[in-house]
Amino acid sequence: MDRNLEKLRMVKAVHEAALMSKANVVSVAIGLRQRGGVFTSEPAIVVSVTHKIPRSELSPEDVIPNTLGGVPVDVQAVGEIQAL
Amino acid sequence: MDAQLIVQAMQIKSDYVDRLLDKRNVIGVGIGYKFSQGVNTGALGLVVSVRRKEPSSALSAADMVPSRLDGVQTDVLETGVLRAFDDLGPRDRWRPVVFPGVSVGYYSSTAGTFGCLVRRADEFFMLSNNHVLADVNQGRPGDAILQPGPSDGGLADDQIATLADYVPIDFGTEPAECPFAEYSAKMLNVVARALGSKHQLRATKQTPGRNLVDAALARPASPDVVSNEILYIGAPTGVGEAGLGVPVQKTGRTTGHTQGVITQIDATLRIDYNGTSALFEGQIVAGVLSGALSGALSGALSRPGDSGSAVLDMEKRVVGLLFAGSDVVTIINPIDEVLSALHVTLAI
Repeated sequence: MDRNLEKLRMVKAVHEAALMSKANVVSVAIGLRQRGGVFTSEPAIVVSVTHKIPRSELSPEDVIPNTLGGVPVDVQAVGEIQAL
Repeated sequence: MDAQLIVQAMQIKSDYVDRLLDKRNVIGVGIGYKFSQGVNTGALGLVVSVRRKEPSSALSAADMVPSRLDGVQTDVLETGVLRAFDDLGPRDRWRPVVFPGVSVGYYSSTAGTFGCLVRRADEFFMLSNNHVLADVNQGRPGDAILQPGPSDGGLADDQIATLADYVPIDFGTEPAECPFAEYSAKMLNVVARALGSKHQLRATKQTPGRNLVDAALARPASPDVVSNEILYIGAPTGVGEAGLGVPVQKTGRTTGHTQGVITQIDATLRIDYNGTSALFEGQIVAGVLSGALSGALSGALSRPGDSGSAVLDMEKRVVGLLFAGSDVVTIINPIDEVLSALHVTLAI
């Protein structure tokens, strides 16, 4: 698990800036992957977006890949994040 | 920590929370580990907080908390803090003693939450967010802090403290257009060096600040007017680590006592402050585990006004300071960064 997290951190560091510049992305983190809207215990690179858009409607540079550097990437919709 | 077990416990909690809250003395329901004679058994179950424990013989059958619900154990915990004040809520005026978990605010602003008590040498301070106690970099030391905050009716007579210190939030100069200009320049420099170039590219736009905390301290009028016992939770036991899947709890001005689970760590995010965004790094993200969960105590961990709440694990170790969120996520500063930025320690 810890080695896994270490790999995720390294991959995140390399790709974070590019991911943050894609459309609707508000956050890049190490997090628990969701399947069918339910959290699992699998860690992944979690990219949070305000809302999900079908891949076909995104320009190629805004598409978020399913994996990066051999680790899974999970896109989660979170809405607008504001100071509370 | 098995997320599936937490999901199961959260779903059982969501099925029973309304019925449990109808029982006499019950003030909260969460998930956590079952304790037996003060020892953590390692079994996840429902934690039912009550104003006071009463012998079974004194309770009607309808008011008894079952020892198991759908196969998970229940644990009844007495929350003593409320006993003398159980008609007061987090948005009320609390006197003579103000507990963490209740409304505070900068005199000309809205309201947030007094997170927890901290100390620097012999002096005690109230910890909350910069945007709660210092109006996002606007406050000056000595400005009035009200309890409750202005949104909850706090007026000049309700001053409980003065602004003592805050960590400025750095919005940078180009928050929206090109937040990674400097990063790109660094990458291009790597390429340029690889190509044998002696010229270095420099970012032409200044990188916006990379923030770690939204934090501030208020100096209470006297140490006697503040407690370190967080409303509905009790005194913190220390500092805890934010691991993926760890259940957490908080008491806040708007949603009271709620529980969630840490779903992300090391998060880099853009946070909106009234239309201007600030970049934060190294943040903790908590959420509820299933979209089906709802209700006053089992819905989102936080809402506007909960900012400044201390976030604790179920062993009451503080893991962070709540400051932002959306309808489905809550964003938390790591507590070690908060304490070191302000040169304070927890008052435990």
